[in-house]
Order: sequence, then C-alpha cells, then structure tokens
Amino acid sequence: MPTEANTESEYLRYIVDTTDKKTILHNLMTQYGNDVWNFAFSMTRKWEVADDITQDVFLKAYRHLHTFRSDSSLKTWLLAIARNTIKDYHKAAFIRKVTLVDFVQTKDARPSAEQEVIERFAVNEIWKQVLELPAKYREVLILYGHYQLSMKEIAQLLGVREGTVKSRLHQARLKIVQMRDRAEHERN
Amino acid sequence: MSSPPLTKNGFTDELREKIESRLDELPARSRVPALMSAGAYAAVVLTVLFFLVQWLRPEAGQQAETMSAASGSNATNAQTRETVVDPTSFRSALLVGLRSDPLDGDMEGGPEQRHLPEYRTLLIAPDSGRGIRVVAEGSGLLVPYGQVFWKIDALSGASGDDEYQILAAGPAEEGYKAPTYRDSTEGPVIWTETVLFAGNRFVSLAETEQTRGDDGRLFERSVSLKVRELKQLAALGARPALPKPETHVSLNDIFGERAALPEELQLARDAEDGSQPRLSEVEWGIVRGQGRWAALVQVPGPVSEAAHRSQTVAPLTLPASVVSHDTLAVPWEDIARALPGALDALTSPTGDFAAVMIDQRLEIYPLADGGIGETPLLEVELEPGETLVMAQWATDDYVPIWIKSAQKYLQEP
Repeated sequence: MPTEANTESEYLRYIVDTTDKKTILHNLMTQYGNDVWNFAFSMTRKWEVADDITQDVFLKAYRHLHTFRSDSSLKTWLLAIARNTIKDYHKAAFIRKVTLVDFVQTKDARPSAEQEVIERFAVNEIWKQVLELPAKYREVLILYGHYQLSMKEIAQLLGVREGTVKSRLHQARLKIVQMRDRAEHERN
Repeated sequence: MSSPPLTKNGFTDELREKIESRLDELPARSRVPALMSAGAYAAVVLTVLFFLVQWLRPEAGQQAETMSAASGSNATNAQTRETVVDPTSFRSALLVGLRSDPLDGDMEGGPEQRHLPEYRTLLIAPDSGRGIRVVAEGSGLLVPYGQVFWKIDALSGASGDDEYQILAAGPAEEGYKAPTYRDSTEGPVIWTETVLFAGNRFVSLAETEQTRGDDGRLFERSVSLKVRELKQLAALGARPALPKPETHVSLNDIFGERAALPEELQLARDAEDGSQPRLSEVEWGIVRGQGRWAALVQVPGPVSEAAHRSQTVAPLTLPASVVSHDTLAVPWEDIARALPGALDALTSPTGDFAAVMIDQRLEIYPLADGGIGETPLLEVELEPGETLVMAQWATDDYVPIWIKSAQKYLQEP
C-alpha cells in the first residue's frame, strides 16, 4: 500500500521528468513556503535571517530535486534542508563565540528588533513561550507540536535517538510549565 | 501550536520572487558569509575578528587560498594519512572542559527567560582493549591542580530581586564552600560569571551584569574580564566581589612590565589622561582561538562613555605556566586543509593523536608521519554552541592516575 511519502516521491519524480523545474519549485514554495519560513524564524528569531535561510532552502531544493528520497515526506525533506541551513547559521555564530565577540560586545539598551517582532506578531502566549525556549528544546517541540512529525521522523531529522527526542520533549514541556508558573506568580 | 508562530506571513511574494530571480545563480560555496553579513555587527566585533585573524592565524589569507584550491580539486593536497594505529598505544590523555551557551538565536534572551551557561568535563584516554574513548564525563569543570584535582561548578539562584550564576571552586576531594551573593541596591540585577578558560592554576572568567527593564527584558550593563588563580576564586567570598588587586591576576603578574599592549589601549589611555596604562589596571582574559589560547585585553572607552568598552587580542604569547602545551604538532593550516570545516584543534604532547572540533563534534584522529589520520577514531557529539574552555594533558604514567581520579570525581559513561 503506497504511503503518503511514497506517493509524493513518485509524483515528484513524475513531474521532475515531465515538468519545468521552475514550475515545480513555484508549486513547492506555494505549498511549503510558509512552513519553511516559520521554522527558520522559530529557530533563529530573526526576520532577516529567516528570509535568508528560506531563500537558501528553496535554492538547495531546486538544485537537488532529483535527490528527494521516498523515505520522507516533502515537508520533512524541506525541513531537513532548513535544519542543516540553520545549523550552518549557528555554526557561524559558534565561530564568533569562539572569539568571544558575542559575549563581550556591549549591547544597546533597547529591546532587540526580533524581540519587538515577537511581541508584536506572536500569535499567542504559547508561541511566545515556545520561542523563548533554548533551541534544542524549542526545535523538538515545534517539530512535534506544530509540524506534527513523529518521534521517529524527528530523531532522523536531528540525527539523534528517539529516546533523546522523548527526553527533550519532556524537558521542553517542563520548561513551558515552569515559565507559566513563573508568569502566574509574577501576576499575583 | 497548530497555528503558525506569527500573525504576519514571513514568506511573502517578494521573497518568492527573490528566490525565483536567483534560480540561475551558481550554487554558493557557503552561505555563512552571506548570513553573517545579514547581522549588523558593531565595529568592535570587526576589530576583534581582525586582530584574531591577523594574530592567531598569520597565514590566514594564504590558508584560505589553499583551502579553496584543495576543495576544488577533491582535496588532493589534503594532508591526511591512511594509517594503521593502535589507539591503546597512545601515551596521552586529554581532559576537556566545555561550556555550553545559548545558541546565537537565544543570546538576546526572551523578555523573561535567561539561559545560563552549562559546563561539562570529559576525559578522553586510551583504554586497554577498547581503543580510545571517553573514560569519564560529568558536569562542571574538573581541573588538575598540582598533584590533585579541583572542581569548578556554576551555582545559580535568586536573592531578593536579583538573579545570579556564580562560580564555586575547591579541591574535588574535599568539596568547596559555596560562595554567597549579596543583593545589589540598584534594582533587579542579573549577575553571571562565565568561565572562558581553566587550566593549570588559573581560571579566566567574564563577569556580566544585566538588568531588567520595566517590561522584564534583559539589558547588558557591563562585562568585566578577570583572570584569577583557583585559590583566589575559592577565597573570593560574596559576589559581586570587590575589585581588590589580591583577588585576581594582572597582566603585570604574568608578563611583567615588558608586555606589549595593543595600540588601541595606548590610545584610549592617552586620550583619557595622558598617562601610560598601568598593567595592573588593565582588564584581561584568556580566550580560545583556532588551535591556541589567546590573551584578550579590554580596551576602555572614553570616560564619557565608560560603559562602552571593546576588546582586542593582545600580541602576547601566553607562557607555559598559564597554558601548558599550547602548540599543534601539525600546523593548523594542514588540519584545516585535511578537514574542511574544522573549527579548532589540539594535538597531544606525545604527538600520537589530535582532537578536532568540527561540525558540532569533537573528533579524535591519529597523528603519524607529520600528518593527521584520515578516519576519526572517536566522535563525541557536542551541544550546539558548545565551546572549549579547558584542555589539559596527562602523559605516560599520569594517564592511569587521571583516569582513576576522573572516574572518581566525574562518572564513567
């Protein structure tokens, strides 16, 4: 019985053979553009960086359409590309951190632009809290809670064991509960 | 969470058109430079980077060209060696201290959430019959000190309306006396002490003071670099500590008056009061560059902008009393050429293996014939944003002693 992923794979293979690649990409962007951008934004919290990463993801997808494999859905495939691209971004951040520049640079005493974006446009309190989580917890929670990926799919995407995914999800939920308690405590 | 995070769509028609207009471009070799340019980094960042690149990697330009050429020709010049090695014959063990920071995306912090650094120590050693492996691992930093080991832990808490993370240090065998924190009188303060380097009898740290705005957001108020002896750190008592000379190690203590200071520092001091800088007053720290440790000197800004400081790498070679065995058996450029993407590397004093930080992993490679082996013998997964703050080596007879001690004070995986 064909799975959704297999069907998508066959469909993609068919249209790659029969359709202009640019048209395929146009359709991919129509269907998954927001998914990719939202994931990039959720993991970087920077609007411009999310734009950059999204561009990169679709350009990579365009160049590697033929490499799409049937063992994942198109959405998971694009999220995997996005995740690697985000990793590159963080790697650049890592290099900067080695030089300490992030750590010691004097910061402007104003709310950051990205914080303002979150305050202004976050759809609800839950998302605000999720966006405040450390990246490794935020990542699993978003992939599970928003993108509805299975534990197995998340484990494959992140290159970790399913047990690690479960543990991070548990920690992420705990942290959200703690944040809520703290907010509640402060309100009272 | 079924709805998207924002009420506004980020994937706009404009963005779609931008992507479509780029479809015929050749693939970029790396997106990192473009992504980095997306951020607006202050001049201080560029200054620090410039000095790091110039000083830590004097042949950076040449290296970049070499790397490019190597990549373009399937790395035919890569200095890898296919060697048959017996890791159990290695004569060194590596004690690694790592600091895990919030990722770049987290650095700004949420309005209420603060992400604190975490530390862990790994001992990587040859183990008879099991090759080279992580023989001990645990939280905090386990630092060799003379013939014994000391432990550094980060203690977090809240006091009044202040929050803090302070460092406690003491002999691993006896434990430490937990330091206290005294509330500030200037509204809510967040005080964080972050380890930048630990080794021999020294620890370098950054003391950061942040405050919260009325809406709960975090703002950085000051950063101060310090180098302390472990005993000074242990004896420091309540924090924030008073800046007494006997509580830290000055540049003068390490380098004497002959220390050559960066030009910026001279200029800044000249502009301030016309006098030469006194080395005992200059704040400094020890930070990790590629393949070596470096002295970072805090350059004071004009008096009118006392809060604005920048940092630069001083052209000072740290002595072996501070950073023992801080040399690479294989030139950094050879490692970078053999392992594109390598971020940092260490090689054992006995010249038998290298530890390379690459793509969120710490990989162990054999060394032979003046080059680095082709296949890693061990891969240790790193947390995103995890950086090296300690690298201490044991050799020969000390290896089993360190294994025993590390397994006692940390845990055997």
